[in-house]
Amino acid sequence: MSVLLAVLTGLLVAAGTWLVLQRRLLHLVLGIGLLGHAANLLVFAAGGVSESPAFAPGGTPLPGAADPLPQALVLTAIVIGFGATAFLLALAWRAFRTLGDDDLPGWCGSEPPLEDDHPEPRP
Amino acid sequence: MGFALAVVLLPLLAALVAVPSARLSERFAIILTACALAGSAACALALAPAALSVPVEVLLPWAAPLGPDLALRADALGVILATLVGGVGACVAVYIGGYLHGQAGLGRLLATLLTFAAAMQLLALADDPWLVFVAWELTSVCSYLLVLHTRTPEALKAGTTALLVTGLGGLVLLAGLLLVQQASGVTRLSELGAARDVLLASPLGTAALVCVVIGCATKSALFPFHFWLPGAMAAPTPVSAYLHAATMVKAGIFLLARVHPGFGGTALWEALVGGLGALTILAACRRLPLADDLKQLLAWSTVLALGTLAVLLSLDGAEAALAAVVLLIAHAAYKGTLFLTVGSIDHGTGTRSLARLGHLRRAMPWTALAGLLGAGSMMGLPPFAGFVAKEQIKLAGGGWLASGSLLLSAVALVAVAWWVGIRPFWRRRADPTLQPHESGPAIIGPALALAVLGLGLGLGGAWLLSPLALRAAADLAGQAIDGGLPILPTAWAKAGAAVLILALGLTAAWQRERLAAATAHLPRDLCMRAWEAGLHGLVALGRACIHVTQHGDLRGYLAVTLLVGAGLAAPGLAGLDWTIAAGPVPLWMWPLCALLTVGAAVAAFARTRLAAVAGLGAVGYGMAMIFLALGAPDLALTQVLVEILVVVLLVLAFRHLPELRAAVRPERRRWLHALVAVLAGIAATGLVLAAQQQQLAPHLGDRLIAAAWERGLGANAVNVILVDIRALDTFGEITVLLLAAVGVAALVAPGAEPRLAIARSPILAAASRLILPLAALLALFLWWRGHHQPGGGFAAGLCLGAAVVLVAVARGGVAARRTLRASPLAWAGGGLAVAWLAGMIGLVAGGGFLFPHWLGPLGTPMLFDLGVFVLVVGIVVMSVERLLEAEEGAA
Repeated sequence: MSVLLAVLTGLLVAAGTWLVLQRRLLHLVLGIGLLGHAANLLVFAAGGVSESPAFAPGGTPLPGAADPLPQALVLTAIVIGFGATAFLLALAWRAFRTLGDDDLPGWCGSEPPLEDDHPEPRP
Repeated sequence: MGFALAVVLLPLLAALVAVPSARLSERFAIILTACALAGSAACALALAPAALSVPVEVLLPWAAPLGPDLALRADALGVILATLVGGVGACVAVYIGGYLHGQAGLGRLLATLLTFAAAMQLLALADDPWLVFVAWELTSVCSYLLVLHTRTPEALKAGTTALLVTGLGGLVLLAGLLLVQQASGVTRLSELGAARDVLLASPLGTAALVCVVIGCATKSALFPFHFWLPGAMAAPTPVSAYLHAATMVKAGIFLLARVHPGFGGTALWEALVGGLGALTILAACRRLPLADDLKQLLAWSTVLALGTLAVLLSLDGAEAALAAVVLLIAHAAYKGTLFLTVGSIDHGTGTRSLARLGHLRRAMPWTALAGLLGAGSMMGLPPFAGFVAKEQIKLAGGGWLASGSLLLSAVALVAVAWWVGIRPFWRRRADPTLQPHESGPAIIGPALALAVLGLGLGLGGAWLLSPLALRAAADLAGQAIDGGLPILPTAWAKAGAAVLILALGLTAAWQRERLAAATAHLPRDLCMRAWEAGLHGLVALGRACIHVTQHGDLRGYLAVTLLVGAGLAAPGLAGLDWTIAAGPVPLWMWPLCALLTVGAAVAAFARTRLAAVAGLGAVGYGMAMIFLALGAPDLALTQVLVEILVVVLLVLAFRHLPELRAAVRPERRRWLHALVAVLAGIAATGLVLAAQQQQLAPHLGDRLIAAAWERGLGANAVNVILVDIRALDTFGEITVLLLAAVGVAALVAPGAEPRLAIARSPILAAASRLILPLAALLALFLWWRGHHQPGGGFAAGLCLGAAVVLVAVARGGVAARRTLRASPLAWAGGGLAVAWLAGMIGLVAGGGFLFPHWLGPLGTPMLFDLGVFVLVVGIVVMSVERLLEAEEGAA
């Protein structure tokens, strides 16, 4: 089963990577969402899996209880992921509104050129 | 020891107070600067008696277990340089008071000047490579700041060139000093003479010699780096007099003298130093007749003198060493005098053009006197210091190349002295439009003081100069000198050569126009042009590299980053046991796998926005089910609630973005992207497997659960970790959440008329009314039981947030805000405040920030979790509301 989770993680990473490498803004958002899931699954699966929750009703841990630490990490990661997704969407909205284009390579020239700190020496 | 430190610290301390004191009173700042520098010179002189017998040493422990101490050593040569730096500096400081009177930035100028003086004094006394290097670089930086004082484009260009040349040279010098240390095994410059055999026998010795000489050549403007010095004349004249004639440019010569006991006498040293010196003399002589600006003339004559010093240092024997030491002193005095004279001319007439100036002796008698005295010394006339130097140079010996270049230099110095010190005052013709007037005593005084110093050193040369100079030369050459410096009566007897040099020099001065015509057609500024071409090429190379690596395409960066990451993981994955026992896979796992795979595939390849969102949602719910099945009910609960909200967010935002089918330019390199994706996936799989095969602390989980029960008083270990054990992390995370929501609010301005793009459904509106109270109850229940059962503040906040979002979607943002009774931002901020309050209770009641305190079933972790709850409601509503009411279409 651990192997299965590992393979699933790889699958999500591959799909997310594929998406973030596409040229559409929308794909970028979706890809980051998938990568977020993949990261959660990675931490969760890497911590070792167990079918009984990390509870101690009455003070004694359930037999074979899971490790609560990866779960705590993933829990905050899920909520942070929500915040990040919201921010990313807001950013995407603003970028599309400002640039009028959702084609990522098309944005290349949109950045103002860097100030030239050191003027070239006159020959 | 106290004096040695005071030599360096006096200018440094004065530098610290220079700016505020200049704001208080300009006169006070000038006096302070002059006194600090004069005091520094006096302290240096106080070290002189010891320098003649056993030099004072100061050892400062530094990086004790690693290496040797920082060392100061006041030997004869160091004392001579330090006295010059302090004495000339004091004169220049007074001069600045007259020359730059009332100008803005005077305090800054004085502070930089004092810092420079401190660095120079440190260099004079430093005896270990590290202090030498630090002081060396500091003088370069100070020179840059001082050249830039006028802030003209020319000054910027010249200052930058000087900084780059001397800075690069400094790096080469550092390499050289380290090589010297490696090769000789000693860390003190004063021990180089003793370690000479080891140094020269080492294979690193040659490289060390070349590096040190190159470093010194850049600083002392030796060929082929001589071009920066005339450019640096953009600095104010007193600064030029101080840095670019009397002191800083001598640093390279000084360091050459310092390493002379180690390298001197070898064939390579003689060829390299002597060759560079001779070429420098030639280059300067070539340019002298063409210069019309008096400062340029003086700059080229400084280059000339530096070349002469290099030639003298390349020669073996004590007489040559003595000649170098005496010339160093005499040059500082007469060149300083002439620079200050030129400054006075500039001040009194407004021009420095040789062609326009003349007949100034009536209008500027005192300046004329200073010029006369300086020129006399420079020409090597008795009874000036220059005469002693010139007579000693005659004794230096050397081959035809050295003798010839020394003769050439002596002749050229006579000519320059005539042009600068005599001609402007005594020439009959002059530009009639000039209206010269004499400068004030603050300008004349320092110039005359330096001139009289030159005179005094010459008159009393044998007695004043002899002991220190002889000792310095003896240190340099490694052998004592018979006799002393040439003194007047004996030298008069063999004045023939001196008369010849004088005659040649005056002829050259007289034939200036003819010399200029003869040299005008020769190619000029070759070294400068080569340097600039090299610099240009470097910048072009940098641009080319940036063009390739910084192309601006985000996806390219990502692909490279991911590939590098996968590549770094590869060696670890190669050693992995891929055949790990898979174990029995429960039946329910297969449909989940299918759901995730199909969801991911749909998200990746969908042709419509809605399908892509559905695919991503499917993945999210699949994740929730995996969490539920594998002992993580809290995660499952949170994931389901988040998934609801994320899908809402995606739909709200995606309606503004173009449909996926809409035409885009064709994609290139798809196969490359696919390859990167597959490799990244394999690396991730391997990473999980590697982590699973290395269970570092298998019992940590059980111990955490036990600790959660015993110390956190909770059965749900995940929740206890969040609100108690690692509560500070959670506090940071909710702060980040708040910031993200504020970011959303900042990025998405609400439309002019908030309107709902989604058709309002009466059924949805009615349902939202029903669901809201139920959801609120459920949220409170989740929060309350979270400590012992699945639930907690995050889940509770998401639950209530989702219900309010439903209200917002069904009835509009205004209705949602009315439901909340306060703005979402107030909820979020209030939540953070409550969490902070829970932490402060721990701080006040003891135990520290966020330390838990319990009162029956109620405790501060519960309060903290309440804060999380309220904050999450706020940020959820804030984010969704903004995207809901965002203006449509592109701007």
